[in-house]
Amino acid sequence: MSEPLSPAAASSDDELRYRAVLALDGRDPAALPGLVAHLADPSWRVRSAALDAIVLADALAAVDALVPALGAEADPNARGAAAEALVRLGAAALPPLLASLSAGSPELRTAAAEILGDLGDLAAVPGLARQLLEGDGNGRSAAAEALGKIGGPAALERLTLALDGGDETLAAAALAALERLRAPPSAATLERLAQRPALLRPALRAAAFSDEPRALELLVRALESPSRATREVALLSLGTARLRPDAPAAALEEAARRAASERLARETAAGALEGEELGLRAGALMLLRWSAEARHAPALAAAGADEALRALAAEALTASGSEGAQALAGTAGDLAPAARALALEHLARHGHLGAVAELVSAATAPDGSERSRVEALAALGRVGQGGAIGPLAACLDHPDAAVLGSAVAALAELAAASARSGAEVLSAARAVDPPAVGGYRLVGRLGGPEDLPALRDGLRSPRAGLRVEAARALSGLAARCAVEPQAVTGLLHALGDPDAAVRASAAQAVGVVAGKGRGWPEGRRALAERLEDGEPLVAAAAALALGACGASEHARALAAVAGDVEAQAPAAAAAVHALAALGMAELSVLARAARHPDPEVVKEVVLAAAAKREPAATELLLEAARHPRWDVRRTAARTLGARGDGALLGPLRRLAAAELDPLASEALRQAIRALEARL
Amino acid sequence: MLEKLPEMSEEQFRLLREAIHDYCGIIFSDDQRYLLERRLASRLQAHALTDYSAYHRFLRYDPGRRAELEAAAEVLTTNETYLHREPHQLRAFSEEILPVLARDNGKLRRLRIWSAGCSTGEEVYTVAVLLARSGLFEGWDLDVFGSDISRRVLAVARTGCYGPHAFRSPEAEGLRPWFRPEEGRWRAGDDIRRLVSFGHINLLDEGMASLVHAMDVVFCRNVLMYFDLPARKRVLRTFHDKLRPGGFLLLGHAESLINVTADFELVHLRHDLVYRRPRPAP
Repeated sequence: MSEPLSPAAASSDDELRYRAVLALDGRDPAALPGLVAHLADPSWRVRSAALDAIVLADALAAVDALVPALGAEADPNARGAAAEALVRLGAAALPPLLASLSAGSPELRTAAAEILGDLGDLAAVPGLARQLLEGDGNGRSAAAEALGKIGGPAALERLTLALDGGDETLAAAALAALERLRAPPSAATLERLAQRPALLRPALRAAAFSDEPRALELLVRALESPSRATREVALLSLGTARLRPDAPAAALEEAARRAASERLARETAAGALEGEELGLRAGALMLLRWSAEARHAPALAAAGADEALRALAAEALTASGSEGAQALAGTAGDLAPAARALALEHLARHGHLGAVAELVSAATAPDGSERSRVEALAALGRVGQGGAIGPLAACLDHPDAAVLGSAVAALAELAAASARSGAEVLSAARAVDPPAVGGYRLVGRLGGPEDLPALRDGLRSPRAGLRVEAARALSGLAARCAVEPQAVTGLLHALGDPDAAVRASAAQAVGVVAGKGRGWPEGRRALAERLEDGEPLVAAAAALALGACGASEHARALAAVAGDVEAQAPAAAAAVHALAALGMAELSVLARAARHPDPEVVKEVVLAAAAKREPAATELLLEAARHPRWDVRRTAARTLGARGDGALLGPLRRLAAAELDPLASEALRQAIRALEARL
Repeated sequence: MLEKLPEMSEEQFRLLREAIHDYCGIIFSDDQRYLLERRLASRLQAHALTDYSAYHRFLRYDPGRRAELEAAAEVLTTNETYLHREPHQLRAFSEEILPVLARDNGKLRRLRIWSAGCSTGEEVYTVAVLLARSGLFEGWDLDVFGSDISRRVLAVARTGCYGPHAFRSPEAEGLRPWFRPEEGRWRAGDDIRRLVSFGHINLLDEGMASLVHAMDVVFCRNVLMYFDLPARKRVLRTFHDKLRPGGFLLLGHAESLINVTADFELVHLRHDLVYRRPRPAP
């Protein structure tokens, strides 16, 4: 049992009070009053130590002691610390907080609503919804904010209803809550609310999450407003909308184009480029792309230093054309590395001598970061000038895999630009001497049958990395050109290579060659033998290859791996995948595989079962929809929705009501909507 | 001029985020999908993978997965930085903390400063110049130790060589006399380089951190934000153990210890708020 508070607890020395509180054991009921008293301590360290001890106390006793500290008469420090403690105590705090919502003082109701929002428990929604109607002004706003943190269909409904009353403070809070939930009201409602001066800006902010064209219209009109503050909010919303992963990009760009015809909107955008908020800068880039004023080019390139804005900055810079390049000249050296690559790329496109050389220098600088080198390499690829091929080809044997991979990607992009540059790139790749990983990768993408001898030589290289890439390149060639099995028998030897990565890439190549109508039973048999390879990735590659080449004669061997719950996960998942590809995944095998402890195997089972119409397959999918892993449940929900079976609506609704994971929940809702639409 | 990056679905983002978190405790919020999509693109290219699902399988099953997780964590957390960043705090360090340390350590004539998560070393050289420029430590045993989880950025840090952009802060001009020009860049002079050292340390690996000496000051600016709460607490426990009583902890301007740990006391300086490991009560 800990001592009650010592005299040191009343000392004027922070350190002594802190140590006195540390000496108390939160689990001791006698210590609780002293600890709660110290929530009002002027030192945050002491309050923090008291809080840490309180959350160890009996939860019900702690909650009872803390709730009174939320009232108006309590010390502000104590109120904040008590609120934090109640959040950390979690579910035990719910009942007294809910009771406080209807019976406490206005201050207590407000504080209770705020904490309930932080607790995020759906059980608080009915009480908070009542508070929206019954509380005082602060309490109603706090309830709206809390509902915005909790979310869920009931909270959305209540928040939307709260928009219609005469209380503008509540409507503004409800709009902010809906914005937080990314679930704005209809565009018609937003238009109506935007007529009221107090609600104009909250309505514009919420419009960032609307997909309705009318919501975009609202933003465009607001960008013509004589009020600079209104224009800035509209610009922020436009940019925020553009940064959404599911943004309607074309519609947003059209809105930006129209807005850019207004002088005031352009001025606002120019001033916003150096703003703090990401959305505001994104909106500015969208508008400035359409105004295409060369003087902004340096600021556009500088904005590209932020990765979230890089693509928008690149578009805007492109639109600034040769005049923009003129304005950029001489400024690139002052920019951050990523922004500099963007600026140099623009300069190189517009014929500024030296820009390609500077990019090459940035790409190969021995003391540059990987990212700055990769950015420069990618820029060289996009520039599309033949002069970049040589420097990029020099990176094809670079010891840094990221630099090498980026050089390959850049050269492939250059090759795609025209037949001529394609031939130049291939020629450069073939000329790499001694052979290098990057050269083989490009030959695999761009080469032809005449490259077979070199790649066969590569399979015999003393370097395992080259043997891997030679086998991969043969896969690439075989996928595009006629490659006879007898021309690549070296792959069968490679299946027995001491290096597992070589065996895996050889298995993939054998599968491609055998799958193009040339049979190759010997290759298929060799693949089946590799199903027992001790390295799981080789067994997995062999299984996938058997599935890809239609080797149905080896389905039994695949089923043995797939149905073995102790099999290595990649091999088991690949075997299930292969059986599905062959159309030979039996439900008994899938049922066994569904018990595999690795979720990747179970997801493959779900995808294989989705192709089967039997009731047992449906049962298997429903079982998977209750799997502990969210990604398995999500995969199962998607397949259930596609079955078109109305009898599944009930089970899916029950699953949706209990689902807490947002992605799995979204998939269940989509499945329900799909089934409802069919019915 | 548009970039062609492989797209990362929300599901792929969640799976990759989980894999990184399981490896090193670093968290990424829902709105940082673009960051993973952009930065991991080079890792896809490094392994000639076509999409992020293949990359996720690589991280789960490939024999080289641990090295790749290290590489992924590295590209995701390495940010471009510059000399004399957060000038208010550095002013507090120079004008208020260094005189205290000069007095407290006067007998020992030794000062140890740790820049935890030093990236490419700009902070380390900045601190070293501030020590040299203060004139308070002539003939002292000084060490400004920079650590990072990325060996690659440490290799850059050891060169002590920076481009013009590293000097973009107005206050960085005052550091320039301690650097010498070299082919369009600026390299730290030998009198500064001899004050600094670097080491590879994962802050969550107590075994690695045990190799660090007792410190008088720990700079850990804009690093804790990458960690979840349990990981933050572990890292701060390490700092507490490594700091001498009365030693200072300097965090980024947007970072605080409220609701994380009460191990440190807040010190109100004229130019900034900093944390300090409390001295034992008399």
